[in-house]
Amino acid sequence: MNEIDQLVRELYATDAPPAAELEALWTSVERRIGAPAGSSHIRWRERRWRVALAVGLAGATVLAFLPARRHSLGGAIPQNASAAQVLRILADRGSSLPDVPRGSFLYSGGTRTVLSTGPNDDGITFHAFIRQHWQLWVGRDGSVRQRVRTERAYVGYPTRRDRRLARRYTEPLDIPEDTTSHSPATFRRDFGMTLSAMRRLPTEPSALARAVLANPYAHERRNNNGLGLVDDPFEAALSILMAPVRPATRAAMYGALATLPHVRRLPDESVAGRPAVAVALRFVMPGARHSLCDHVLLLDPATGALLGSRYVYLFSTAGLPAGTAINRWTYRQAVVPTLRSVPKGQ
Amino acid sequence: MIENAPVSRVAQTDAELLAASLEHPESFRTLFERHYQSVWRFLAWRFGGAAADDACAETFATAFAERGRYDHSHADARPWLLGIAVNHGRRHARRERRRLEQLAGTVSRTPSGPTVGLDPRGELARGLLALDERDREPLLLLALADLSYAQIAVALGIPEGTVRSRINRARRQLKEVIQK
Repeated sequence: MNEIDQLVRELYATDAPPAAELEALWTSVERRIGAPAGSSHIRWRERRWRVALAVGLAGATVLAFLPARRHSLGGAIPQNASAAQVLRILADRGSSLPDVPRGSFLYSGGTRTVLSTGPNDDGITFHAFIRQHWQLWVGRDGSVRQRVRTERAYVGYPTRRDRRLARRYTEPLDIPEDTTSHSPATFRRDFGMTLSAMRRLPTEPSALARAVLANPYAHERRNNNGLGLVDDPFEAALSILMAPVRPATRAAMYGALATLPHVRRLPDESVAGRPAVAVALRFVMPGARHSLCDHVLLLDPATGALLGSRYVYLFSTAGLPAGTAINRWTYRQAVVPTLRSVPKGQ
Repeated sequence: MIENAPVSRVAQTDAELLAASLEHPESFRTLFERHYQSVWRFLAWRFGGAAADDACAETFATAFAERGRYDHSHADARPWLLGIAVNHGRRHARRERRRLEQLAGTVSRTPSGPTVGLDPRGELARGLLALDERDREPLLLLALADLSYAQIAVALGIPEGTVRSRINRARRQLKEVIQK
């Protein structure tokens, strides 16, 4: 800022009004939004939806639970096994990861391909898929490091128009982000509980489901820091799976997911050449009409290792047909000795 | 929706909050709390408190409606929000003009000013009134909102080189007016 800028600033600051009133201003924003962000209206609509879903699928839960108990352990997963059966089988097989010793870190990393939207140099909005390489280290001491690098070029476009408009976007994409936190408060905010509380989570699936999945993001509501109006138990489960929890808890998380009434199985597929069993959870995203979305988890049928996940919009967006995966994640996890160690092949 | 899983919640950048707000609208409140002071102050300094309340609320309402179009390669949403604020502020341009005219007419020429023993604010206000809006907006985003050239480019949707040339032109014109 040079002298002229400073003078301009001082001029405009002359007789500056007092600071804005947060709550009054937020109320004004909510009034304009109509269906307010975080208002009781949306919460009530969601509760109603959840109640209806729970009632409607209660019988199915019972039916799904009984045959699963009859399934023999240790063999291949039958093609006709339900999502609940698949998850219980994987839970019974135990964790694919060892416990993380003190002084070590759980590394999670992979790629994510996401739909990015914004204006080009001419101010015209376009959509394009970007691919990012993400890495997350979570230590037994509560340290968390996250690193994200975006590939230099777009990996796809919803339409030819988007491809054309993207040529007029000249800002670099490949700016790396790298953040590290050693704060227990930050850990608690981001993961919903302290690491020691996480290490004490129950290993009985129903109890674990009550502790983690029944009210995902309750802590975020308490802290009033956003995130979590829609209860997406898959995401809550991913939080736990990304942290250095006990192996018994890690395995039990699949058992906990199996207790959810609305998880369903999709056809098997592969992730980076590895066979994967797919389970999905459907939910409604508030803030848009007809906004059904599937959150899909892809798991190694032999070890239960988390291989991938994706969000699929069941409505048309950005010129993409309904049923398009808006983002795709791949995962690889390992125990590493330092906050900078990377497993081979990453 | 661009983010999921713990990575997004570990970082909590504005981009991630906006992405999450598609699925969890409550997240938007966090973004609001993070930036409302900055946006409001920019508007209040230009148009006064009452108009700022209105324009600031409009800015965040627009941001909420348009959050699906946000360019998630920009971690910091402040330039984007201020760009929206500039658009909403145009409705109050008359207030800004009146305020500048008032300042141009009433600021006394005392020797306390920093430039050659002359309070430059009257001339400065007149100079700002004379600036082309396309040159004034980038300058105000720099001087009042502390945005960088690159951030101003994002806010106004123009190339960074254009931002530089417009700001330089505005500074040059203002300097000439003050030094007359």
